[in-house]
Amino acid sequence: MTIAPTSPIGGSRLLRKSGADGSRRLRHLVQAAVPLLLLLLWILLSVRMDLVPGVVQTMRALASSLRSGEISQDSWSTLSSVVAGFAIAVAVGVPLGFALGRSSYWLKVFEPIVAAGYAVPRILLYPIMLAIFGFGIESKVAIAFLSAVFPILVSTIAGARSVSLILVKLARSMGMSHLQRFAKVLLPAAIPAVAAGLRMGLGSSFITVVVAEMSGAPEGLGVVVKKDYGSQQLPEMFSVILLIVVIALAGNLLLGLVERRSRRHLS
Amino acid sequence: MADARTSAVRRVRPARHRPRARLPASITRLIVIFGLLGTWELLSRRGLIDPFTAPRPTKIFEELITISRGSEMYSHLYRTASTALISFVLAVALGIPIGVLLWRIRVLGDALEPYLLTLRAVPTVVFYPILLAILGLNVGPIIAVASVMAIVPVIIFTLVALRTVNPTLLKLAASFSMSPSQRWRIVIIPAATPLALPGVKQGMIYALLATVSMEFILADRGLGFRVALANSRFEVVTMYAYIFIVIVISVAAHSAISALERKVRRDLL
Repeated sequence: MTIAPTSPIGGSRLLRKSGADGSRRLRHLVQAAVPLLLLLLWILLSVRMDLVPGVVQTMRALASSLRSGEISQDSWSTLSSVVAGFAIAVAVGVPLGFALGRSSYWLKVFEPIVAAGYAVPRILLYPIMLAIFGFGIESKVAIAFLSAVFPILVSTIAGARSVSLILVKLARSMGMSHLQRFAKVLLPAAIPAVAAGLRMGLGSSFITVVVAEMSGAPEGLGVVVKKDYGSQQLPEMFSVILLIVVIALAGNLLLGLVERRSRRHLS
Repeated sequence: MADARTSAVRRVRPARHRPRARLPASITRLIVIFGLLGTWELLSRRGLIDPFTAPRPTKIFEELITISRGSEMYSHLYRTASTALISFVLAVALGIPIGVLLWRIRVLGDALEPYLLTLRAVPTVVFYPILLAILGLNVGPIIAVASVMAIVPVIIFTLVALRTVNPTLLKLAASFSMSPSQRWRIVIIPAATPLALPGVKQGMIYALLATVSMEFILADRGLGFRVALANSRFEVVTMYAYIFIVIVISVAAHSAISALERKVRRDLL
């Protein structure tokens, strides 16, 4: 088993600017069409099927649950456990990933273990976390951590290994200390890979926490979805699903901003 | 000043080149794994770990042997493996052509790429109640979620791999006046496959992950369902045994595709 990059490295390629003016206009047109098509699909489905709630109903349900604040405690529970677990995973995964990436021996020792942890569906460990940490928020933080740490490790290792040896040698010959080498050479060069890992880690911990909530946590957005489904309050249920998706997209956007910031700052 | 610099170099270099007597990595790995298992076993026997939190490894092992003699486990295993495999095959069979299409029609590729990248952040699993409504209460929703989660990395990596193909190679192919099928067979596929394969690998991981997660919350069969069932019945040892089986399967699937990846990369490069 080998560790491969989790994302096509060199994200800047993906953001390259397209040339001609006409093709750019066409591109924006296509981009604007996507949400409209999705909305159309939703309307079509809701008209054809009784079990799919309508757009207006759903928006009304969302507005009323946001206004009454009944959903805020569940949102807070989900969000705080994802953020806490993700933060711990970053604090553990990034330094550990760099350490393993720079030591060929210890990488050889731990690579199959890390790859195995990456491949295993971590949600199955939730019952164990429940047994260890109880029904409070701690077990959700733990499962969020476990979900995020492996993608972060895998990407960081790949990033640390991708740093050209010449750069490292150059830094050493300039008499840089370990800390300096890390801050000035390794970290900036590995940022695209690390950032890809962070994104995957955040997405993965969010999914796992929501699934954990659906499978029997006491509170959280996943619990609300399941409860609304059980009582067939479909507009309410769908509004919570939309809320979950919006939160996930916002988290992703935020990480993208942080990535761009840090890239500019460090290089 | 110069002195300080040379002394720094002298201090660093020997540390780097000092020969170290080390065990082979595989041995160290076994020591780490069995050391952890042994500590676990010992602490359990001393009564320091609650058996309802984590039963002894030897007990789990005994349970694994009992499970492997019965037929129940194999039906769950078959359900999970077939569901994940169908989703994975669907994701690859649709994802690669979509990636090619997005590469050929450049405007479409440029326009949809940001959506594809954000789609990876969407927890597709939460749509399961809607999918239940549309597809009914069977494996349909599981396959739908698993293949949607698996197809995204396949498309992204295919697209990026094709874009990375050296333009000189394409010009060369044109100057040899290759037919389209020759161009694909001789130039594009060999050049793009090594970069596209990690996406296929990730697709497989996601297919299995989504399948087991969905089984965990809603199915009536499958390994994920069996873990949830054992949990709700407080059959802790059985639960650990089934978790172990899932770990073995994921590692086996991951190793198989990594071996394929190595083979293909060696053949093509």
